[in-house]
Amino acid sequence: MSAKKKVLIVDDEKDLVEMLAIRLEADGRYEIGTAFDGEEALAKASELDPDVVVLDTVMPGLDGWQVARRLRDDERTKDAAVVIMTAGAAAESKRKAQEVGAVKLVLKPYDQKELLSVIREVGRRP
Amino acid sequence: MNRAISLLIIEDDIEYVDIIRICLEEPDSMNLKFEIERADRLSLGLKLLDAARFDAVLLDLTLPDSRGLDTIKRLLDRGYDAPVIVMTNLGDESAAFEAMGLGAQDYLIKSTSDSRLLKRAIWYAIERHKLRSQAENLIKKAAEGMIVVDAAGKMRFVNASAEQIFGRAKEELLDKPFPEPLSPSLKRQARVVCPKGLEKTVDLRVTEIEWRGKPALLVSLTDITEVQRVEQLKAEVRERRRLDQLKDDLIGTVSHELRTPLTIVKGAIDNLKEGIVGPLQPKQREVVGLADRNLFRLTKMINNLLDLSRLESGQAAAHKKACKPKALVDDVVADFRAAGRAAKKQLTSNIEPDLPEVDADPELIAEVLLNLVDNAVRFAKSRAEVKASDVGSRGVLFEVIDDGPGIPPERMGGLFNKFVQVNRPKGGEGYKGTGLGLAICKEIMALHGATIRVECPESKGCRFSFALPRYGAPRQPSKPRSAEGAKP
Repeated sequence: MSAKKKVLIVDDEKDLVEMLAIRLEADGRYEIGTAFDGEEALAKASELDPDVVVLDTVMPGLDGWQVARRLRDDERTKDAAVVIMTAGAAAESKRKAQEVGAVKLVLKPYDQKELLSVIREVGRRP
Repeated sequence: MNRAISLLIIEDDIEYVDIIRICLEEPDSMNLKFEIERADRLSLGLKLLDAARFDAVLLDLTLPDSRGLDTIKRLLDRGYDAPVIVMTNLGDESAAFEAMGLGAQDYLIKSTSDSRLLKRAIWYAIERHKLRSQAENLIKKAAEGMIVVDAAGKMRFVNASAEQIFGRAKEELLDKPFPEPLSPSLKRQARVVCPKGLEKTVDLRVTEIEWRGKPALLVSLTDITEVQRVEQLKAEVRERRRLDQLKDDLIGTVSHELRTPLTIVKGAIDNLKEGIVGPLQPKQREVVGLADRNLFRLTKMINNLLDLSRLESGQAAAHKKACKPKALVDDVVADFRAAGRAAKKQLTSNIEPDLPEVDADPELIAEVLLNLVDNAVRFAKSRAEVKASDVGSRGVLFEVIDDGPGIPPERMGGLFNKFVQVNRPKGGEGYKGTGLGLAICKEIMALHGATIRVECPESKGCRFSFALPRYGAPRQPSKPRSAEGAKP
């Protein structure tokens, strides 16, 4: 088994996912999965068993909040650390992120370095 | 009735007048008293009626100077405030009926010498007349305009409210045709042109009535000019609110939508800068740096727009608490220095010791100070300073001062409006603002019930200042949101 941290990036903006994946791959410490909507995110999550899920909120179909809840409620994915990234209002997003059990909230437009350090810091729930 | 009833008898037959007089003087249980005057012809009767008011008139239709129905017509046309009882000979009742159709109250057969019958006829006539006068009075005084239009389309009666609506006295209106085509049960709005070109809108309703025994139309008029004007104003206010809401929503949505592509571009530039996708040559690094700086500016502008739209639409609330003035200033100055933004300029702070705590939202006030310091450093020749001092009952005064070129007096007025930029650097040199900073400051101040002021003594530098109340001091009512922030 590889010792790499498994990160699942979920956003319906493919370019965003790609840009972030390039950055994480260059780091060399991560195994990366990507998904472009909520359903796919859930499927990929149970397949990859990620340590960290970086999750957009506004997506067609299942939105990020719903995905976060399902990840938490599913025995196979409940330990993954969810990082919410959103372009929404800070205060309300903070409240919702807490509600769905996310460990961190990152506001768009984020600084990649900042997001990277978040991904580095968070890990599976104890 | 205590008062004597004044009675005018217009009758050329002196004997019959005497019979009436005797009848009326007979005592009775009603205890009626009469004061009788007599005229032997119509012209004299009219003269007496012109001179004094009578409670009732007894009228013979056949007089030396007038005969038949013409007699009653001539009398009624004068519009005296007295009931008329027509006296007629036995067998001539048809004329009496016609007279009543024209407006006589009652008739008497001349051969009658029944005192009680006579008195009762007069008494009833007076009472009926009173009722009619009361009804007419109601119409006269009614708030609604009322006009009676006869079959020929001419106005026969105009009450005071109708005079007011038309802006003309009834003498100018009576006998003139009604200005609008009428039909029974008509109900619509109409425009009325008054003297001096003043136009009014009226609600017009038409009902069929009988007027002085003939079919006529009653036109009711309600002046709705004012109501309509108020309605129009209300509609305008509603529309303005809707547009404001639309604008706020639009700014909110656009800012939100802009953030996603911005994030991606930022990620791409970061990846380039960090050499993730290969090392950069110096020239490439310079170009990427330029893109990065402008992306920072764009991000700031979008964030400002979103902040402002939240502030303006009232979605943002101030979470006030006790704040130490020194901490507020120090944090901002430290942030500013850490970001290397005060390069080449001297930024100092001068905080009075032992300042009281102020009642403020620290994050919002930090934003105000950041905006002001940013401006001050940007425009300063060499020095910018932040001061805080105790101003007693007004709380703590914060000042941000620079030694730059100042603001020309003609630009002071709209300084706190959106997208206003003064002394914008030419040719893309240096850092450019978003034109939203001071508008945000103004809104944040409004949330604190405070005002931000600016002074430019002799156009030498600027001094922005605002006072925040002491924590625990009685709250002052917030100023209206529209309050102008700039007080040069």
